[in-house]
Amino acid sequence: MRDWKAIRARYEPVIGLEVHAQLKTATKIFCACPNRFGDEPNTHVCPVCLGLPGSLPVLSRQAVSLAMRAALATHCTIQTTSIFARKNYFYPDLPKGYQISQYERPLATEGYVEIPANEGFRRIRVQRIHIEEDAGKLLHEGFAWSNDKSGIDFNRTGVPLIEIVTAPDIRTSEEAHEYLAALRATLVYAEVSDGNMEEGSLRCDANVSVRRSGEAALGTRTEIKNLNSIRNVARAIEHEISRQVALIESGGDVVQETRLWNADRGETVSMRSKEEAHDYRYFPEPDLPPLLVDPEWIESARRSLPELPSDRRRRFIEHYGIPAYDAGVLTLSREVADYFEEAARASGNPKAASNWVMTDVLRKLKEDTRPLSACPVSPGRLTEMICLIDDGVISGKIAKDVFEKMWSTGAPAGMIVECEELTQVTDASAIEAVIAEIVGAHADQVAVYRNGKKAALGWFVGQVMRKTQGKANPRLVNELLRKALDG
Amino acid sequence: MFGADRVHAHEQPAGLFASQEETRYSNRMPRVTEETVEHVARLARLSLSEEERRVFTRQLEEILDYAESIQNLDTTGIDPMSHAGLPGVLRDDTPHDGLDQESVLAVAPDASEGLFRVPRIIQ
Ligand SMILES: [Zn+2]
Repeated sequence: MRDWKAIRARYEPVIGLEVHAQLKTATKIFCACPNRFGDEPNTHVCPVCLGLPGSLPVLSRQAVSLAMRAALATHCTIQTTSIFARKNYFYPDLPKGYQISQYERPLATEGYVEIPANEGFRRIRVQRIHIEEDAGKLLHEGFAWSNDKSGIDFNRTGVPLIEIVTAPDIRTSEEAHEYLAALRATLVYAEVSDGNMEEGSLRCDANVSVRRSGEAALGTRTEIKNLNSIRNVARAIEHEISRQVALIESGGDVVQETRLWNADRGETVSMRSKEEAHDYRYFPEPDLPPLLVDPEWIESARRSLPELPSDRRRRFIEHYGIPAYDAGVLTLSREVADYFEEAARASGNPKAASNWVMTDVLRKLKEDTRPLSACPVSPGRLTEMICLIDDGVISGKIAKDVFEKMWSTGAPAGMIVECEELTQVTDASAIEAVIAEIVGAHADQVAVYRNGKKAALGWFVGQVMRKTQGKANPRLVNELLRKALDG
Repeated sequence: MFGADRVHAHEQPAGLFASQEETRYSNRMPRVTEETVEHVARLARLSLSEEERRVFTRQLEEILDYAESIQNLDTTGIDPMSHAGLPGVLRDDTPHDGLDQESVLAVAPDASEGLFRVPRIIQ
């Protein structure tokens, strides 16, 4: 039996990702049809996006502005002149028989996205970002005639897209996952795209090859399509790496081809039909003049950018003193970062705010599958609760129950504490009375403790807490117990 | 520069048409072969008879010959130009209704339930 892990470790995967993101414009890229998802099919179409003869495309200024924001947010250089090109192929989702894209001269080049690495960051280089139009949506299932026909909805045709292409800098499926999470967060923060992979507003193709560790030349790559969630991207890449290594180990050769990810079967499958269609015969789009952007336009796009996730993450670590991992989780979504920051500032206790958001707020939202916008505990309410703990009114343990009640009732922490009489007992004499009672009733445990088994203290703490329904101040309990047992 | 590891990048430009590669060679060699015509026809989903293939091969060759007379012009110091017309025409992001569904589908050879229909394209 050969050791698969050892074999796998002798190979280095080389991965590049191509991400398509739909831009959040009100109109399509070359016509005034609404850019809207989920309406009746073929109701947002016109002669331009249907490719009817005689129609001419006119570029949307807002699409360019959003593409520039994406480029600046990924530290790319914006080209003051870029050129649209026709990518020619026949497929029923493409009414013109060509897609208007950019080829030799894209809008932006040479940037990077930072991903977490150890305790710092690693840069995944972005080679280019170009603007293009989306194709229509094909429907293969769900109709009485689906056996022999496919339906087409052209509402999506002409929706503005950017394609973001990385250098082959990614080495593991985990890094691919990190890159996509970071890129998505960046695009959502910058309000360029809504970043929803399940609905197709963010799509990813992966180029994967493997080479023996230490070799400089790249192996033959395959392109994997049909990756509709970040998790599936990582799974598909992991599967494809194993497939290629096994193929090479058994004496075979990797064939350059496009493969489709089948999530149900958990494998990639060759998509032979598209192989010969890779001759796209690009040429400059004669219907569109070169796109010129002046430095002022670029500057105003730069000024319109909010603080980006990587910068915010860095600031959270430095300013609030929270761990890098926590800062990463908290900044993946702008709403979560805003929530945390409000509670951190108002409570003056960023570490507590971070812990509550990370372990309780996010967990409960996930359990309830609600968005943060429907969170029953506002940052202000969370702040009140953190202050009750910090002021010694309730213990951290009781606070967990209070939080649950805040979640289910929406009531403020103070009211719950008052109604349920959860206020912490900080009266030393009251605690001493309880301690005296327990110590008196358990001479055997007292002997164990006094014979040097200091761990028995925990048993006594537990008894006192039980007797006081968890309301005794733990620090005080410890202190008074020691005094009673040692003295 | 990222040039060294471009293998994974977007397909790199090889010239406007694949067949143009061939046109850079000797004037005497035919630039358009019957194979070129067959390849382009296949990409365009056209099926050609043998006679058509011969005719188009000769005609395309003649078109390239004709266009080549431009190559004799001295273009020293002139910037390449791919577009006529002025740049800078951009559209505001204000939506307008397009065509109504009924008239859109009326031009389709086949439609049902609001959708254009084509022969099933995946098995
Ligand atoms: Zn339209």
